[in-house]
Amino acid sequence: MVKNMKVKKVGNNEWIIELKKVFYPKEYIEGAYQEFLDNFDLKIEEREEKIILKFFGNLSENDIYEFLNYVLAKIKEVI
Amino acid sequence: MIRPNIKDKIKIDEEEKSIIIPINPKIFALEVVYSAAYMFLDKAYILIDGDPEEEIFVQMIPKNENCNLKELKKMALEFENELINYSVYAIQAARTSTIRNAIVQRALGVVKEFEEVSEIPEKEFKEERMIHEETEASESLDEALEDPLGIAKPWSPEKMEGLEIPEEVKEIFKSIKEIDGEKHESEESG
Repeated sequence: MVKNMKVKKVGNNEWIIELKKVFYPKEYIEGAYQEFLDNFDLKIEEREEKIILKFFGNLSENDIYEFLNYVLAKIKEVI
Repeated sequence: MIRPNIKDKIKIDEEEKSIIIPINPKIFALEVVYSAAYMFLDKAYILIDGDPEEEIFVQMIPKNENCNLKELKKMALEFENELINYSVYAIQAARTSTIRNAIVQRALGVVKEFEEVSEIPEKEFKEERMIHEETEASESLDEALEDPLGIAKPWSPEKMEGLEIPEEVKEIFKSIKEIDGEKHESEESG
């Protein structure tokens, strides 16, 4: 069953999204986050094949998708 | 056996404004999926999920929130086109990799040969240039020593023989001789 991968708002200024490690390697996320250090705080949790990203800050849903786009761009530039 | 239409496999959620495209990784490699997704980064938010061995799902959320169903479908089909586009590119790149490597190696080899060849004449050129500079310097020194007008020769009374001496100078000589004569006389008497 195909389901929407959506970022979820879990607190006042907290967002969470689950991704697959195989598509979003941790090192690329960390590398991309270096460009966004002033914009938000990010906590990365690894659970087996999944990677959980927790965003803290005054962000919109689209800001998080924009960050994930940036991660994809970084991956594409390397492979 | 009736095969399902690929278009039917694409899931479009008009309310959520999202598209989910299933991709067979045996047909399209993960690199191709990333490359196709890269082309849409300015138009849509892209998320990748699924299993890289079984089935990959690419979710696209258009940045334009007023996208209608037709535009969503168009975007999904364009993504499929990009998958084919990058697959062809990847196949061609793999096919021509040997030729490309050969061209690059040859180009590097030519550069290396050129460097080796250009090293010898450079040395010779430097030596020739040094010799030329030395000869040029000695020639210019000879030219400087030449004195066609005779102005560089030091003056001496012998060289004045045969020349007309002005009266004023004659008087000066005369007075000098008189002084010298007086000196001799005083030395002899003393």
